[in-house]
Amino acid sequence: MSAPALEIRGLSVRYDQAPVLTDVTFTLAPGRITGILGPNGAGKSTLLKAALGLLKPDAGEIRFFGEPRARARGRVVYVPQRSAVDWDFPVTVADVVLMGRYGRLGLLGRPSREDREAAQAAMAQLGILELASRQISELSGGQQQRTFLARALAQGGELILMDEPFVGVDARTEEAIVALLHQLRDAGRTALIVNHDLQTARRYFDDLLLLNRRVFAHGPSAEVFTPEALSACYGGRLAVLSGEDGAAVVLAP
Amino acid sequence: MPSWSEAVERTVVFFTLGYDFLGWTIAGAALVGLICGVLGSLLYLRRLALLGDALGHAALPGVAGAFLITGHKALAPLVIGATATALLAALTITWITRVSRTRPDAALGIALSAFFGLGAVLFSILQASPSGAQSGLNHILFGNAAAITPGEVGLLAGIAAVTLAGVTLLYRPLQLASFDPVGAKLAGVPTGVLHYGLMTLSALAIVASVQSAGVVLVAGMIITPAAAARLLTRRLHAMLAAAAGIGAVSGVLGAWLSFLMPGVSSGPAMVLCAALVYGVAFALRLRRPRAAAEAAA
Repeated sequence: MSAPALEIRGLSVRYDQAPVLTDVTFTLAPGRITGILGPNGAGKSTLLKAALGLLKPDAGEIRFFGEPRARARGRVVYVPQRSAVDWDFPVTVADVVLMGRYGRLGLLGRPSREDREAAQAAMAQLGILELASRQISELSGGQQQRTFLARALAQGGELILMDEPFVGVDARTEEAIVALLHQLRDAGRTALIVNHDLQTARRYFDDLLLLNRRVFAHGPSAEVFTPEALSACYGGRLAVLSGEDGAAVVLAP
Repeated sequence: MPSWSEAVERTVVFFTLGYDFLGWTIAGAALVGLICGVLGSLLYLRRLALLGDALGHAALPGVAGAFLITGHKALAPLVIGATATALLAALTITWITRVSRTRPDAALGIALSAFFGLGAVLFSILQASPSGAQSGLNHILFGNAAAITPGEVGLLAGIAAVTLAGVTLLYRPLQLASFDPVGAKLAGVPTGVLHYGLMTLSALAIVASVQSAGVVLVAGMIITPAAAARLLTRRLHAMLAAAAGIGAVSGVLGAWLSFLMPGVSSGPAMVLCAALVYGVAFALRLRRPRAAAEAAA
């Protein structure tokens, strides 16, 4: 069996002494889409950031494809939360998508024809080719999210990490993103997605990771998405019932 | 105020380089505007525009210290002293923000006023001393483009060359690191090196601009052309070019106004010209907000 796309062991993170994540351990098998679910403040974004080395954990070991992060650089793609992007920055859609290729250019390299073609193909696949010369603030929320997905596609990474990709996005874009993710998965890619929408979780994700400071459950969606596991993870903050096949039916978030 | 005929006469003298020093004045003012426009754009996009204000004010104790130690106005000690105190102020701001609860804007205000206060005290001591008569605090505060020396213009030309070469060669890493620092880190861009390189170059540029623009208002040359250029452009290279042009034109026009009206310092005049350009850009964008979006829709 090939090395797991992501392997995290004993990860603990604190902000100003307050523990945010405690002893988080899990592995992601390649070729699956995993959703991270959990209440607000559960440390979902923190987990992604720690995995990417953007903040320093107190303890823990993180390996991508069996290697330390620095050696797996080109294989990991991060799609930031939309609110974390400076939409007023003077770049066009085409500029942003081409940035997906910068990692392989080195410090002084210039994009080749191949790089530009990859960016074009990614824009075409996301249906944003006709928006190529727009400045990014002139886009709808869905178009902005497609732009960053096209960048991830142009980069061609094997593991895609996304932070709340469906926030502020129209229903059509959400379906398009999910369809694309399923397509990428079928081509062997892996995705780890922070999401807070429980209604769609089972349909969108192959596996679920229930997180609230620590891992409450991790496994195939059908096994994890149960009233017991969800109640445990969310505490009393969730009204859940058992559905016909034993799956949870969420009444109120 | 000069009469109309005097004004016309002095304008002709200024632009035909009627005095030998005017060539240096114009070149210096244009270079100041160009450098500040380009570096200011990068600072603006990283939300560090106000840092230019702190760096400018913090250059004062360095200038005064160099005067006090060497006893005369030599370029090298002045530049070294001013760059050192400007960078020290920048590091102080970073350090305060990192280790205490003081917010970044407050830390910036504290460092700016403390360094400027120290500079003012040193200058008072200097003016009481026998060698102090020639030190010209007013010129340091508000700029005197006409008094720029060939050595200072040479320094500006050197900084301009480094800036333009750096921005051209490292355009893509700079773009990515400014737009998406996280993505840049993941792509292996040395964001820390770029950041400190930009800071050092900015400190040096601000120090070299002080003779023309003054420590108090040099921030106006960093912020205003960049902000105007951002309103008028939609891609980074266009913004950099526009800011360089607006800065250079504002610099030369400011030097001209200062030459036209004796007693008016060049720094305020330059900054007012830049603000005027910003006002025009602002009005243009008000008239047709998001015109591009509508056209494309």
